[in-house]
Amino acid sequence: MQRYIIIRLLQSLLALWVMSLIVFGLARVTGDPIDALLPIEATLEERETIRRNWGLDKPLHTQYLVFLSKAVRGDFGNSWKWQGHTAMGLVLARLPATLELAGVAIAISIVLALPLGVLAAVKKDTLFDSVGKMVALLGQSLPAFWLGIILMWIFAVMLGWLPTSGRGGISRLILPAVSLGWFQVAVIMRLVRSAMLDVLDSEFVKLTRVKGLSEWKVIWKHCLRNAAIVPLTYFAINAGVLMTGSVVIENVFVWPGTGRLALEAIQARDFQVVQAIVIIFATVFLFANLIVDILYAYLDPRIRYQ
Amino acid sequence: MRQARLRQSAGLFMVLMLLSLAFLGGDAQAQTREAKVDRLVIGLINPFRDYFRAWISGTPDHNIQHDPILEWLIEIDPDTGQYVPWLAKSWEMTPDGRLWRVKLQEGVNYHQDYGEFTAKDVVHNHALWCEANYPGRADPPSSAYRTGICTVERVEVINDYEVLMHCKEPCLDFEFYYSEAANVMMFSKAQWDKEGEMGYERKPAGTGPYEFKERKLGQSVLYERAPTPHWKHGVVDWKELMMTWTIEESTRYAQLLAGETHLTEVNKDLVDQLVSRGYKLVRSRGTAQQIQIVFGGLYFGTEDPQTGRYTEHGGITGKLDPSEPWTKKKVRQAMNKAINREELLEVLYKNRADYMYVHGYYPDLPGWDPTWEQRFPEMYGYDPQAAQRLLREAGYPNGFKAKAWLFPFAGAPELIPLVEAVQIQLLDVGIELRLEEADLVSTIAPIWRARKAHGYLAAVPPSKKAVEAQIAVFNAGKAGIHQFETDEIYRMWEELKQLADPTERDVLLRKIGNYKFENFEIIPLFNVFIEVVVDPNIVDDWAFPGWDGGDIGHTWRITACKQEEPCR
Repeated sequence: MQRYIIIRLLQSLLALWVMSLIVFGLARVTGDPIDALLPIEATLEERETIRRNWGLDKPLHTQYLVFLSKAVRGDFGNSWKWQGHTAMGLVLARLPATLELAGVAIAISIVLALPLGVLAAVKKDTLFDSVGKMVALLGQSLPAFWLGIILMWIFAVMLGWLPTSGRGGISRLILPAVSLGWFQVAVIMRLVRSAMLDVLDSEFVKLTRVKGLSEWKVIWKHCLRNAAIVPLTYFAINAGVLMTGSVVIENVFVWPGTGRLALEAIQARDFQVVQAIVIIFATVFLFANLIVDILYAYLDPRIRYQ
Repeated sequence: MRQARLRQSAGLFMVLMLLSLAFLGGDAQAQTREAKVDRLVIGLINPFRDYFRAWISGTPDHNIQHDPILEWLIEIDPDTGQYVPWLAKSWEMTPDGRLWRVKLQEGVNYHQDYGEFTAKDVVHNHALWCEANYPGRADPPSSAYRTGICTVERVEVINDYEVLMHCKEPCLDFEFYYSEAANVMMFSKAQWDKEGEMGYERKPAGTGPYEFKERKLGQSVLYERAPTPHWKHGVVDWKELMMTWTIEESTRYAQLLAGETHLTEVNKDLVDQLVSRGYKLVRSRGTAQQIQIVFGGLYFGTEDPQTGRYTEHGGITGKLDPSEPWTKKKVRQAMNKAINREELLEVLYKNRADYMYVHGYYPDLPGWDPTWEQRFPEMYGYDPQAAQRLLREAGYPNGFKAKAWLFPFAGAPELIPLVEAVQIQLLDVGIELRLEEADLVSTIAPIWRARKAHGYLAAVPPSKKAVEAQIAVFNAGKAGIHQFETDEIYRMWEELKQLADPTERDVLLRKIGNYKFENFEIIPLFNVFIEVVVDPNIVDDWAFPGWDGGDIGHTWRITACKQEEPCR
């Protein structure tokens, strides 16, 4: 198990380094930040002064080495758009809001999707199953931003029950979390349903029933545990999806998280902040995958010996 | 009988008195003296720059956050668009145009007990923008208009309330560069000395009618009414003023409908929807932007004969490609005459814009020629037959193929449908445009800057600014667009910069304007205004000129609706 974790850790570090190369390169091919930050009236002399001041006059490999040496210490430099703030400071200040939103969205998706998926499998081909499949279809086909705007229109504008946007208190969290989590409800429900259907047909389930275990125990303890591997794997991807999906939802609901920060930083070609966000997103994504890999190995002992 | 009549008269009098009192009382009840909400919330698009130190990459678009708290030397009157006194009480130029004597307003105090605004603050702010190594300033200045601002090379203090501003060369546009149309707002020297540079970010002390209260980075800025009445504007209507930043347009729309904001910016279609729901459209009193189409590749300047190299700061480029059809004047005129401006104005701009004639020229600024309006229909007016005839004469009887860039531009959402409409109109005279989606920053700006935009049309919305500044930026090679460059225009611009007599300058500016007009340098379309929508229950009016910083400003002129009924 220890060796398995070490190998996974090393693979994660390698992935992170590749990610740093990609984000560094991509940030620079999307345009000159001087164009985004300096007014069009700026003279050549002013452009060159800023270029020198920000180290953009150095060769690319030198810029990358400077970036990498600082990044490993958590220093991504100062933001160009938000003068007076470090890129890391900005991201860390916004991260709790994104984690809060993503956390609640995940909670909503688990609380709704697990029982719905299990029940849809148990009550296969009934009205309940059909309704469940319809919910899943809608969840997967409605774009989150569209759903967000419609929910905002109904609950904030027409009914006046909830505020349209912003952060602060549960009332402001409901609409963005539902919009963000709705897609996940659909996906997880479908995964749980199909995994449960496989397990329900297996021999050991028949055995547990023959042994006289209650149906409740058979389904919610034995079947669900065995069916959980597939949706659990999905959680790792889900973490990444929720972080990146939050870019859209955070902008629709003016949620002050890293997603909104990312969009503004990209628009302003603020390399420092973009790099910090992507590396942190990647780290969270890789960490979630690592945890899932370990859990996976725990749930299915065959995996760790492969 | 007489007594009965007296009683009747007295009774009638009493009834009339009571009715009058009831009427007056009712009227008095309908008038509420205070604003209906303590906090006015303005829903804006984005902060542009989310910091106060405007000398770092600042542009006038940055000014909106400074507007409630800080003040400039010179104000732009919302109603007339003219320069009027602000922190500068008066200003006077010497005949050589190289010196301005500026008298400052007395008795103006900074917030947070930072003392009186005096000449030392003017010296300090000039240095922040213009001095290469100002002690205590971390980042070098790089703001828009810095070249013009720093034409003032030295500020000499006569006394606390009077300064002499010495210019390197005649600086007749001093008023523009030190007005709120540019971005040298007067920060406090005392605060700088006490708190250092970052004090301006934590809690900048200004002299405006509001004090800074709180900033949530990327979300909002909150101001509160200054504790004492403002020296010029008295007591503003709102106890607090908040600006919120919401990029998503549908969210801004919903925020206004839900009553979370009281004033917002949305596109013209949504404006119409809001107005039909009872909201009120308020627009800038004057023009904010000009909408025009630029011909790429009009680099008529000759190569520098002495050095044999292209220079970046002159109109001498040597980059003309004469095979481009619109390098011929007749083709440019033909393309202008192929455009049905009336249709574009009605469909895209809902008839809420004016026609423009020459880029960078406005009726209320020097150089304006009133004959342009009369000459325009004949020279530029819609006439497809004349357009085809001109194309034939230019050697393009079957038209030609060209390209046009499509790119989104914040604050000008009509640009993309405009180019699409122009594509259809040009096709009617045989000019086939291929539209290319491109990013302004990463693709178009570098091409413009390198003078390689041959064969491309682009719709752009330049903001209103002083006329010389427009020529410097668009025609004289000082900056990035290189819209129309010739040796002649460059020579006239150089001559212009040496003129000290406003009358002579006005004449030369008009000459340059006519040169641009007669050479069909662009496809001029519309002068547009900034539009905002307000909740008429809360807001009565907002008078802003349209070319103060960021196109919107004068937030202290947002007045409350103080009657029971909405202020329609």
